[in-house]
Amino acid sequence: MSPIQIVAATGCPTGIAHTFMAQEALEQAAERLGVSIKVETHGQVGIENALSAAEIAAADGVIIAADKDVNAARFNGKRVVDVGVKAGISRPDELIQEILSGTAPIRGGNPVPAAPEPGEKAGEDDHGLFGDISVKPGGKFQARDLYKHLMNGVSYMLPFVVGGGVLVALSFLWGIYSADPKHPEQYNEFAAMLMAIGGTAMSLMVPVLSAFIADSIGKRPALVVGLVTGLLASNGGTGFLGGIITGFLSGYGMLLLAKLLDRLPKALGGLKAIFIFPVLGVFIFGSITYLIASPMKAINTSLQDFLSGFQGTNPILLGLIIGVMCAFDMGGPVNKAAYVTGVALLGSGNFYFMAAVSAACITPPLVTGFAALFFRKAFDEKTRDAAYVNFALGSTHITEGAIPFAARNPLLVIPILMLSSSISAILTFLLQVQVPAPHGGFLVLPVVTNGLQWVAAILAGSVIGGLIYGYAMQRRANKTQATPVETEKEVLV
Amino acid sequence: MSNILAPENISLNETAASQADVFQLIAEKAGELGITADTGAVVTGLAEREKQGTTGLMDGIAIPHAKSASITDAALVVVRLRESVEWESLDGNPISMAISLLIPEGEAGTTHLKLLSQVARTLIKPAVRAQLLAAETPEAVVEILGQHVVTA
Repeated sequence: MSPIQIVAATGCPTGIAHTFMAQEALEQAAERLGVSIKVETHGQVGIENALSAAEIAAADGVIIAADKDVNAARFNGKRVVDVGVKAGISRPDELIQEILSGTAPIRGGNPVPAAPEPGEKAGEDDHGLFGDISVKPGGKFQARDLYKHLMNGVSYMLPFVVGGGVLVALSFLWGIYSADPKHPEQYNEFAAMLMAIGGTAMSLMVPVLSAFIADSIGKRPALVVGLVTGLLASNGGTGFLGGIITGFLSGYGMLLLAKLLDRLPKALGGLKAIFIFPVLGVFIFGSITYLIASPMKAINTSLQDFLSGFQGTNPILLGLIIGVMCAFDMGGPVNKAAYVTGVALLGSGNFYFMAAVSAACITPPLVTGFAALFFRKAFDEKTRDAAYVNFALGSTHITEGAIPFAARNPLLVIPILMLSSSISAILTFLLQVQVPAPHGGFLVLPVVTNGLQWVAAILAGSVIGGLIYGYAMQRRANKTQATPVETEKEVLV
Repeated sequence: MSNILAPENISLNETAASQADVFQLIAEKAGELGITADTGAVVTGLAEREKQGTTGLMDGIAIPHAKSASITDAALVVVRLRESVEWESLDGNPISMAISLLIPEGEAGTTHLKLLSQVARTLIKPAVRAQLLAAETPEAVVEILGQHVVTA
């Protein structure tokens, strides 16, 4: 008779000490109790001693001693002892006894093969293309899961915004019309190329956000659907809020679809992954997105009419409306409505309105930059660097720079940005600033009437917003440290 | 690499009244060793890691650790106390010896990280803990940790 075989996975947020102490403790306990054990470690250097699907299948039980995600869905259907990493260190014998005595509960859900985590090395058995879709184990649904999925999308989106935004900003150095052959005095081929490349990178932002929210929820089958629906939403003019919606729709929608198709005969398994999921998924959720996105044009037009009706009204009220609209979705239908109205009014000689719109559009990225400057410790290094890049993006009217910050925490950040943009817009009205150019940020200062006042108005809104946002993030950071959760990607150590 | 664990990283006769004092001792030691110019940041790093979960182990040994941009080279710093301090350790005992892992923010080379992980691993062995608590000289501590790390 072969000895009892146990597999285990250990992991901790830092991935230096406890992960490996738990491994050692479990191995020693196994030796004392005469059972065989293999411990997979999820450390700072990645996954080591990875468990293969065959080893998991052959195991009599599983011990998870981890304070981070160790991809537990692959253990579905086995007896699993699921505890924190410290229990693995302090009472390894008890954990093994739970397996031996058969008191450990069987983990719900169907077994699913290991799928590689983003940025981590795959286990030995990467079933890849034909891997089945991951079904939520045990049906436990937690708010922090939502946050984790959202953050996954945001972290993939961020480099697109930075890379694209900086290239577009650079193209403005030749003048704000440098990419437009209709303006031969400024047109420059290299600038036009920068603009085309940067614009393409930025246009991928919303699809990538949607795709990787979906991927985090439903793995590869959902990624496809999330990417397509994200691009549909983006083309439909929904902005990044639409991308968040399509990401969750595609992710959870595909989980549901997988559940519904669970009863299909096993023989169709391969067909499911390569044919049924992509065709049905893209059709169903693509259609839903198409229908949701179609009224965007109408919303946009009616908002423009609404806003035009307000020109010449009380400057404080108008500034407030413009600020709220511009910061609401940063490139979505509401923001676009304000922007397009501003451009239209330029044609009729009203340069005050555009000044306020530009101020409200420049402010959000600057808010994130100032927040990171004032509250360094509230942001991890990567986020902080992106926030500093936002000084350049904001100064050149690339509002999108603020999107990754807003997307990770929309309910908190968007109101703060609205307030900041409103302050900037109201002050711009009160200080009688006129901006005759539709884009370019501070690069058009030479043609701005009351340019200094304009900069002061924008800085006022941005600094106030930066203080509020930074303070809010710091409080959040302190709270997160008190309760270690799924933050390993963002706040290591 | 060689000074990641050397006798000068170890003080066996220190006084501390609280966990915060111990962090301060570790940071000062790191300053003396020339692996940080900002002892305040090291203390903050240690305290922040502690908030995520105790680093106190069994038998009065703790492994406070920090990863911080203010640390320039990976190192082990060992502080043994004349009188133990409260630490919320796994077995509830106060802590009399802190074996601290200090890691630079951008540490990419896995050699250092693996070494530190092996040190942590070896502390699971009751015999090693007993030897460390009884060690009489810094050289002895280096030898105990070194031996087990190599053979682990």
